[in-house]
Amino acid sequence: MTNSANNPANNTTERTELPPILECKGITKVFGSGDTEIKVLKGVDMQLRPGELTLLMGPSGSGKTTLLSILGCILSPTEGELVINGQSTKGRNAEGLADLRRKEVGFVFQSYNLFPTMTARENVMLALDVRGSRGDAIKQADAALRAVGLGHRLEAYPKKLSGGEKQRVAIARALAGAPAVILADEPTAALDSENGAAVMALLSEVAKDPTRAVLAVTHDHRTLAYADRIIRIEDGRIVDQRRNKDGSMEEREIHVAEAA
Amino acid sequence: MSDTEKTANEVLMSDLAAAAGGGGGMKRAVRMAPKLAFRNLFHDRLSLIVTLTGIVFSVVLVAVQCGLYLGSEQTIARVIDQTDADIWIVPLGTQSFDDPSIMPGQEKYAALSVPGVASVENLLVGFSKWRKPEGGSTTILLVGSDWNTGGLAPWNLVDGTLDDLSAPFTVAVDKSYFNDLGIKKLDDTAEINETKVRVAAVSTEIRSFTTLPYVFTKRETALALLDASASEASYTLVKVAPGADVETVRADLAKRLPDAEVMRTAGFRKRSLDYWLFQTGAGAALIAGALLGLIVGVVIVAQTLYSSTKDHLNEFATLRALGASGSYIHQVILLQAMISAVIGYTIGMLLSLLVIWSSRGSTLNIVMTPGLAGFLFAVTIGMCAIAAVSAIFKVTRIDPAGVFSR
Repeated sequence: MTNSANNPANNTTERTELPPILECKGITKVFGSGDTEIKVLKGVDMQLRPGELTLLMGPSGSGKTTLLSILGCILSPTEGELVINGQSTKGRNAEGLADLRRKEVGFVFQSYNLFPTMTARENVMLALDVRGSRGDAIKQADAALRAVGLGHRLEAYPKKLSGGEKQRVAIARALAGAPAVILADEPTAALDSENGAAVMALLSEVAKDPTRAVLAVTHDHRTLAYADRIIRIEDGRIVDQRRNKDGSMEEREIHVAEAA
Repeated sequence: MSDTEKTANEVLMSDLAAAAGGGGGMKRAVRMAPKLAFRNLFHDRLSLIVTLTGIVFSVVLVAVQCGLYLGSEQTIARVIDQTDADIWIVPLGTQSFDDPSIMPGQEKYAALSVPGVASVENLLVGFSKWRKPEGGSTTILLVGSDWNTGGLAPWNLVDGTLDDLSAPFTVAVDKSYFNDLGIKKLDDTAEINETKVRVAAVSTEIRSFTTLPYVFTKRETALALLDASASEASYTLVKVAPGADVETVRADLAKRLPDAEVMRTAGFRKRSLDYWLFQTGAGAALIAGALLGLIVGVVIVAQTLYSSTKDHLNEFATLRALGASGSYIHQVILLQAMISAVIGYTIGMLLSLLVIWSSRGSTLNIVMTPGLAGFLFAVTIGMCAIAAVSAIFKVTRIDPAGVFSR
């Protein structure tokens, strides 16, 4: 997994750090109240920088999905502030959050979540339509699908696509409308190693855009080689944040860190 | 992954830039919500069939009930509408044309002496016993009139002429009542109140709301058959002179005839409709039937739309996660309802027209008018919109966070 010749993260060594595209400060999330109160996130501070692929790792129940939901403007934090591309989520209601999400966030889901009744092209066009994207939707959708290597599968329905192809359609859909942040939830979990590697390579390429940041939540240690930055969360707190400067962070190091 | 030999980003950026430039061609705005609604709907054919069955059932039931209501209105008022009278003088307490009694007979001459009256004609209407040629009898409503001087003539004659009815003891009957009257064709004979009459004219589509057949004859024959005196009448029809005020004439007549009721034609028409449609409950039953159809339609469509929405809940949650506004998702569901409504309405209307076509020539008068067709379309759209509410409530409560780690 850490073959340096193929490792896209190697390029990050020469990058200068740019101001964050996404920043959260003191994020706390509490579910329930009284005796049933559960504090899932306990003051999370983190940043996503443009041109970087960040991995968010942690054991089950550590708060990864809740944090992802907050970063994606799906949930509001109980306390703290999230700023995406200079826009704060503070004081926004559900529609206000949806508006920010529509403009600034693209999602890649573990189970792809493609619309089964629509072709690959239509799935991307639907995302463009939701985002109110102007211009020729067909051309934009085709361009996004070509960019993920699916120029030959434009008219294919999800049931005719392999798992890897489905995830690439999902990435094309996330890219449609050029959002500032792409959040991927276990993007390789449903894929074999070959397709998983291809998807991570693609996300790594996508992350090189200096106007975009990519965050992937993952349990898959094979993905480490593609990361520019790795954040580890445990029990609702960020316990480790490090830059994967030369792409050499070994799986062993992460296990050691997790054990600590 | 051949494209990734160049960086995906380079390809993507160049492709997107080219797309945004539009290549100098015309840009196509593609609305995906209708497409998604259409696909959701047609994806599950069985659900669609159930939805459409509900709508079609509802449309046909409401169309037939409303058509019967309109047909009843038409049937009840048809005789009144067929005259050119401005004012009707009727016995006190008369509820409708089909509820006749006899006035003493001085009404015609009293009316003629009122300023503004152009002409006056007596109608003699009465229940009679019709004896069928091959045995058995039935009750009829005999209508006697001198139509040459402005009375009420039978219309829609398909056999025989009005002149043929000039001969004594000849009558006109409607084709739809042949079975009831036990006759088969023109020139068949029967007995009215034990006096032989001959069918000299046959009409079509002259139906009575009470189902008692109208039998038309000249007034002189009617006087003889009903054993009435020459001056007696059931109704006196008044035509007002050009330029005279109908209401003034009516008020004047009412003053002079305290033992009768004097009504404008529209008033008598309304009284007849109110009596048959509302006092007897017949209209209420038709309206109740139409409402029942609507309720059944709403329940079936609501149930299937709700079920379809539940089936696609993950997709709606994905849409929400992608940033779709609440109104965008509501639009998809409403469009599903509207597409169902349009298809269901079209099939329902075709079936309704078939039912109406099949009922022609029978004693059942079902009417379809452009106004009723438009009303039914609006009702179907409204019904499906109401049915969509439960599905909309369902998606409004979607938690988009549910799309993670399924």
